[in-house]
Amino acid sequence: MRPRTFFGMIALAIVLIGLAVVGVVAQSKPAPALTAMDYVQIRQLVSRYAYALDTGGNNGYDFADLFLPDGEFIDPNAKGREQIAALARGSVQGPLNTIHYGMTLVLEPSPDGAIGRQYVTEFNFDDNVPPLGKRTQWEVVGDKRGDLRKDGGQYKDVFVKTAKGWRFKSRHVVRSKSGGGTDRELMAFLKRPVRIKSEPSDNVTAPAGSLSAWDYLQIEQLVASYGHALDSGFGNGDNGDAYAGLYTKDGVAFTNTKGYDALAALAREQPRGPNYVRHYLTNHVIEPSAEGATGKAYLAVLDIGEGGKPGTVFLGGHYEDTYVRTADGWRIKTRILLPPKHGPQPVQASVR
Amino acid sequence: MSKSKYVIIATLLAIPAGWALRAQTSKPATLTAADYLEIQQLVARYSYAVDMHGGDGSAYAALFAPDGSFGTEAKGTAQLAELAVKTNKDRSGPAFTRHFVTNVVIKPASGGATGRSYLVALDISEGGKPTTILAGGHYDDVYVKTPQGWRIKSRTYVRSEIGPQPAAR
Repeated sequence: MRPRTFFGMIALAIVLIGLAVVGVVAQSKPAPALTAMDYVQIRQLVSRYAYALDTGGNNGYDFADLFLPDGEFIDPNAKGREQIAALARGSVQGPLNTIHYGMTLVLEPSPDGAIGRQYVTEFNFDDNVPPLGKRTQWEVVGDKRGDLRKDGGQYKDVFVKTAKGWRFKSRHVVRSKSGGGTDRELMAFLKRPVRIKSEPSDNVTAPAGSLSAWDYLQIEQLVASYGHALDSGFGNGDNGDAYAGLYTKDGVAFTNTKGYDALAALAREQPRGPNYVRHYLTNHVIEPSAEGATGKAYLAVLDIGEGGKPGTVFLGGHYEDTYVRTADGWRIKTRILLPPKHGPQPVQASVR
Repeated sequence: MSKSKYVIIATLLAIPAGWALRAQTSKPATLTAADYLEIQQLVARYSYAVDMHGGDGSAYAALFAPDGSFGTEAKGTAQLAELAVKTNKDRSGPAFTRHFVTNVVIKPASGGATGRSYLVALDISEGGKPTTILAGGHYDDVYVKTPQGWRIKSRTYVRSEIGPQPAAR
């Protein structure tokens, strides 16, 4: 029996070593690259997060539906659909409530799908903004109409692709805190190359009724341009032409400003300067439509303090847009601004 | 070597150079969807690198091309890493978030791409103090595609400044 045991042990050792090697190889194999559309769709999911949480739509289930059925929210802790939906219920939630402003999303493929991080800052905008009266737009710069909340920091996310699209497996709130040494894992991530699996279809516009990665990116670029055009005319100081150029020829802003001349005149009433920044947009959600696309984006108008003055919160809310393809690329066809308000609203308030 | 040989060599060298120049001038610069996404990731990573001040500053410097620059303050990998280490040393850390960046606009340019984005620097509440707006402005960037991927060739921070109010008409 002894030799058999001896050979048995050797055989077992060989098998164990073999398994260990396979395990190490499997672990060191990089996760499959994400496609351009994966990046776009995860960003859309993350942008939807703010609306679902701040509105509490569908009794909090719009929020829960962004997570896997057994998904997890960490700090405050909630697991599963019911507990996660409960996070998005409260007296402040309502269709015009805008609190969570996410920025700087970083993503990386992982064996399960993707992992990411995002910065978040939270606002409390005043519910009622005084009318302009006889003052010009320049004279109200620096008026304080809201605050930044004490909460803010970053999310650490795990994403999984399901049959219905990308979902949060987990979202972990990490409040901003100075100190604490070095995060080796984060450092290694920042140094790793970004890997994107490209398809030729990523780089062309999609047929009407659908959107390609290219279309999402171009519409995002259009909306990212909005602040630059309005505040500085992209650094040339004349914001009228730059602003009107974001719209179609028959484009309409705020239901009453139509066409190039009116749009340019509207922009020229606004405070501006070659290096001026004021309109910060984020949480851009885009949906395909028969005509082109619809979208919404959060707005924070921030007055950066000059000459040692503290910065102030001037305005918040969200834009609702329609976009169309033109010979020159995607343009805004209509844009309205829905001012921020806490809590449930009469139905009419959200369809101005 | 005879003079004619020089002429032949010069001509042979000039032909591909001419082609290259022509290709560069006649074809408008374009970016693919993957280029936009990769540059967006680069811009987003910047905030983490600058707020974390990771150890030796190497994660910050790695976002730049080897000859990349930040304003007039730092040029080249060694100076960039040093800048990241020494700036705001007490206000940093793996969980520290200050550089909030949005409105990231990227445009193709000959040789790569350019970008402009908005920064608002926030002092998020610590120890019960209110969250405040510390500063804000925009970044003006030039990006270049290296064998390791897109990198920042130059980044300039310009703080916000309101222009002169036009005279009432």
